[in-house]
Amino acid sequence: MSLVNLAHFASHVKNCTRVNISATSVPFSRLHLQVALQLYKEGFISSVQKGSTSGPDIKPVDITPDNVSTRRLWLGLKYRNNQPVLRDFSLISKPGRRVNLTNTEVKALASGLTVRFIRPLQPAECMFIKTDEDEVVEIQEAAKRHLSGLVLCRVK
Amino acid sequence: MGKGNLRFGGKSGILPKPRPIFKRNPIRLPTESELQQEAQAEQGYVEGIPEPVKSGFKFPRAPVSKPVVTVQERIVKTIDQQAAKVANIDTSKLSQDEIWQLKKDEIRRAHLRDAYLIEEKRLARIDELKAKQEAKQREEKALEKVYEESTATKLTLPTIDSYLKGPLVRRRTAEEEELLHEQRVLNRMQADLKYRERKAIDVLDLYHAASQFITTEKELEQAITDAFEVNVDNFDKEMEVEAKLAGRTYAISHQSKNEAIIIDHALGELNGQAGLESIENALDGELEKLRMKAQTASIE
Repeated sequence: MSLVNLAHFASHVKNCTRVNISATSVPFSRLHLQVALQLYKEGFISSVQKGSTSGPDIKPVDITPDNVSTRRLWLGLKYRNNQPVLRDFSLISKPGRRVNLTNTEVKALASGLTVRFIRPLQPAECMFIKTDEDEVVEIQEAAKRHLSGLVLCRVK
Repeated sequence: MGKGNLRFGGKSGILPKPRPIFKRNPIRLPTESELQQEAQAEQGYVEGIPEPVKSGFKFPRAPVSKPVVTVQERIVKTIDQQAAKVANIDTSKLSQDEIWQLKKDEIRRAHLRDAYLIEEKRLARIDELKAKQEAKQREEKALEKVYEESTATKLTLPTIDSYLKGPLVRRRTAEEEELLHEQRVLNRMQADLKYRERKAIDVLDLYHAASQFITTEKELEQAITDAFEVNVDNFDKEMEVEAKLAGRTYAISHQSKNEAIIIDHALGELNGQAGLESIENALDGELEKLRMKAQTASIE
């Protein structure tokens, strides 16, 4: 898991939404796929597709050691009234400052409180947490399931 | 702290917390949950921290469980045994006050017995309610852990979820590994062959060039004379003498050189001499076979 790559992912997606691009690709990795899936579930992006550097796959392609370097994850970006749905996407945990929360802290954060330096959630804002079982979940779901873990990023 | 109801924040009508009747010893064995709590409890001083000096006393690290005294044992000890002591007293010899005192004691004992039994029932009821509450909490906690996604999510996201279940990259099979290994060996051998061929051509080139080397004094003198004498016959008509002398070159001046290169490539020669391929053929006897074949064919 690389927070550096996730930071690149976040800024790339944000940059793309600012110049009204319809689809973009990010390197294919498990963490990126997990975060993209959560973004899709929360309605920030319109599609998630596997693909290569030349575009999304038309036929399913296996990822092998021979083609792994060219594999990409294609994300369909969303706009409403000419405004991007995804306005901001930033990391909370940084490579040099990882923020691990207990389940009590997760619940507090989910219920709108400030936890340590993390500002409370705003309306239409999401936070993603990486649990100890290497699963990326939205903070509300994590609070429901009494999960604890590393706070990755916040999206609005 | 203050006096009277000041102790209760100046509020009247608040009764103090009733003192427990069975205070010193528990009346039943601890339940499982109580045992668990007790096992986690820590007290006293950690090893290495100096303890306060208290003679005849050691600060225990875990709570020391007190012996259980059941209500029946308590009744026997505090009521029945006391009653037995005064049962044989001859009341006829006692004064009215003493008799009244005995009666009062008896009444007190009867009330104490009732109080014990009622308290036992009350505590049993509390235990029962607590057990029920704990069971309910356990059930709720177990239900919370089994979190299910909504039907919409289940129907829309099975594909991407399935990517995450297994490994992302499919490893090479044993056959593919072998094929890759063979390919790598082939590539290496091809590169090696190319290098060796290049080296052989260079050596052959050097061999051909060696025939032009100056080895005698006469040849050296001739070479010096050639170098310093301008042979006008060698100039092409199309070329200007000034241009030649100024060192300017024209495509036409390379004509013979280009022709030589083309001929070399077409005939497999090296600077007009025998090329590597023809030498290899001669060494193999391939050229000889070909010649023989041609001769026999012409005779026939």
